[in-house]
Amino acid sequence: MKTNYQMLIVDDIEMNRAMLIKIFGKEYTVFSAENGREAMEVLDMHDIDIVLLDLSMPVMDGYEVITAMKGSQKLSAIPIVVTTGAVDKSERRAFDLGADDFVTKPYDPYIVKKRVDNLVQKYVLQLENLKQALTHAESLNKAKTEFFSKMSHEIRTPINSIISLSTLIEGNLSNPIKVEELNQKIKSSSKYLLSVINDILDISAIEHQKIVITKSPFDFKRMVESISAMFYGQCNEKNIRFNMNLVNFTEEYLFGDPHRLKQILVNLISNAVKFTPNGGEINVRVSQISRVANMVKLRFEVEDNGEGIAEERQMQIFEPFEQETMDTVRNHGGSGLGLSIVKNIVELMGGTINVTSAKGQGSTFAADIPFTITRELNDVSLEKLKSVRALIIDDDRETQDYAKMVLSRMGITCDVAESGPEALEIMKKAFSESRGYDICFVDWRMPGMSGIEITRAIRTTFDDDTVIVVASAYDMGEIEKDAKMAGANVVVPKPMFQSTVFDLLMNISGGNYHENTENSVNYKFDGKRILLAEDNTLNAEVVMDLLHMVGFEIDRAVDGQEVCQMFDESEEGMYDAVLMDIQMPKMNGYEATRYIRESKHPQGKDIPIIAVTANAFTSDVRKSLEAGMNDHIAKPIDTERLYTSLDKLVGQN
Amino acid sequence: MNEIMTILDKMGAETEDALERFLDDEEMYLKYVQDFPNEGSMGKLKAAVGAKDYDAAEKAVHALKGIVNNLGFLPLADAAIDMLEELRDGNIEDALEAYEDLTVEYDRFTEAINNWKSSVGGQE
Repeated sequence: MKTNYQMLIVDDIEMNRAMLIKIFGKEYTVFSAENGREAMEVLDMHDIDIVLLDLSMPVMDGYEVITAMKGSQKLSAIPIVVTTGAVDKSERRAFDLGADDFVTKPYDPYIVKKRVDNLVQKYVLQLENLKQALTHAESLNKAKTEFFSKMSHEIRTPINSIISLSTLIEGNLSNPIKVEELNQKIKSSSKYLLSVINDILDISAIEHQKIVITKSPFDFKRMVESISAMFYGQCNEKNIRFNMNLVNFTEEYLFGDPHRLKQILVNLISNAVKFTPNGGEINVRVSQISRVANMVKLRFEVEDNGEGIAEERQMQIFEPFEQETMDTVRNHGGSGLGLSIVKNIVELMGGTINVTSAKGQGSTFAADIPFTITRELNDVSLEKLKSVRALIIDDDRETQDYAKMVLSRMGITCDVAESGPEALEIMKKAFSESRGYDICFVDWRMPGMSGIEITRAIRTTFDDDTVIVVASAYDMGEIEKDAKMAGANVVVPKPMFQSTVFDLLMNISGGNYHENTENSVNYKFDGKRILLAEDNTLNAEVVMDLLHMVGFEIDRAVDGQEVCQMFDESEEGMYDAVLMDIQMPKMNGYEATRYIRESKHPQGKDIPIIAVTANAFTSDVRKSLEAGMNDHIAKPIDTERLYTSLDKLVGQN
Repeated sequence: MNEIMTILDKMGAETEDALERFLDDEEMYLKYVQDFPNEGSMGKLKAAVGAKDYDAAEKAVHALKGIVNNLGFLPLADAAIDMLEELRDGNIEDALEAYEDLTVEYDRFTEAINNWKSSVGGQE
């Protein structure tokens, strides 16, 4: 882009020339001429961008100059500013001949400069822009022609292969192994061909502006999971470490175009796989970079430590048909269109994409795309989770941080352990202080003590009440059986989503949080008070809710010892019943029951004690009754059952 | 401001305005003021009038008009414009009357300038 323009000043009076040079000399390169003929000579020899022309001059006057310039192809586009001492109608004639503007003498230097500068901006700059656009269009056209010939080749080659292969199959029908081999080749040629065709169609659609970005609600979580699964296999084959991480991320149900988003991610990740050598590493990060009202902007980063991209090429790679891209196609295959399609789609979605890279140092592609959010977790439910305690058992720091973030966002307190042994230590301590963990998240693959072993250990050392969630980045189908057998409650894929955790907690606690059973309207236990012994906070919350709903007041003890103490200290008649969990620290339910029955408290012998426990075998029921309990209710709690039992034992108002 | 400018202003010039056109370059302006008596347009005009070549006179007075306008010598400019208009309208007699006024003003100004030049040795 030119920054220094060349000006021709034509005037027979030296003073006039001198004054104009004074005004423009600093910013323009100035040539001068005393008359029309000299002016034409200068115009012939130099590339003049603008002419300041006096009209009355000897030898060849201004009008003749204008006429001569407009008659010359080379000169006709040069803007002409006429300087005139107008007393007559000289300007009109000048305009008629083709002058672009005029200034009257004596002129105000400011006005003259402005007029000239404006003209230069409009004419000269525009002309340059047009020239550039023309050059660009020409080179684009050339590139497209090359592209089409390249693409015909890319299309014909696989088709020819397919035809040859089919012919070969015909000749080898009796050899099933050979047939199978040939068939696989047909398959891969076909797939390749299809991808080339799809790319061409996409590019064509983009060029004709036919691509439509839809907006529908979609499950982002599911999409991320499927992409993860897609690439783990490919990366394993090339021995590439593949990580997909969600950072600082809260929303899962988005409003947008899942098909196109997937196309973008798959494209970027495929490229990364293509350009990363064996033993390399690819990290995909999805982070939430901003949130305003119901719009959220997500950043999708695909980072690899492969070949990298030279700085000069970084702008080009997003262009279709670029020469360099074609070289890449020759070397690495593909249609050479991928990134340009990606860029177009990202921009159609209202986003931006850029690349950070250096030759030999890998690349990071980052696409920032806005989405609308469609669903919020119910605030009321979140309240309930405030007292839940979680333990995260994972050796990977980033996973720990992420899980911690997801859980604390839900109001759940959480601790972290890096290994099985550490986890067991922490849990022992907590249990002894009656602050047992309600839920544990165990990573499946860990060095030393594996996820399975940790799960078994927790079950044998502690109880069945703690919810154990096994998290795994790998194929869940294989692990699920083993995990469940070891005692895990559920297996979830990594990365772990907020809604997954939430659903888990709701389901495992009996799923009674949301449901207000119709029947409960019939029961009225107002004025009655229950002493609840339950070490697991989550379970306690559930029960307390159920009881509150029908009018009960509740006091809670967190272990066997405390329930005995509270019972002892209670005034006669304060409690109408005791709900007793069996597996508790310090003193279990049976022992506590026996204590109460043998105590000197006036209600000791008679107060109804109901066992509420996960253990529901007949032997357990018998044990409860033998200890002195009146009833035994299994978890997850059947609300009706509980109410009926209480009704029977406590009676209503 | 230079003393010659004051003198000329008293004679009806507007030298400050003129200076602006020279982007306040006083040195440049004064150079042209000094050169004015030697500037050739008046000479050409005299010759043309003498030869009754009114086309040439028109060109010359046109040129002179431009110069005196630039320098801010308004009385001269007015006279020159008058003469120019009369010439263009073909009113030779009226043009020549204007020419008389023009000559008078021209002499006044050049005299003042020449006096100033010799009094300061032509330097400033």
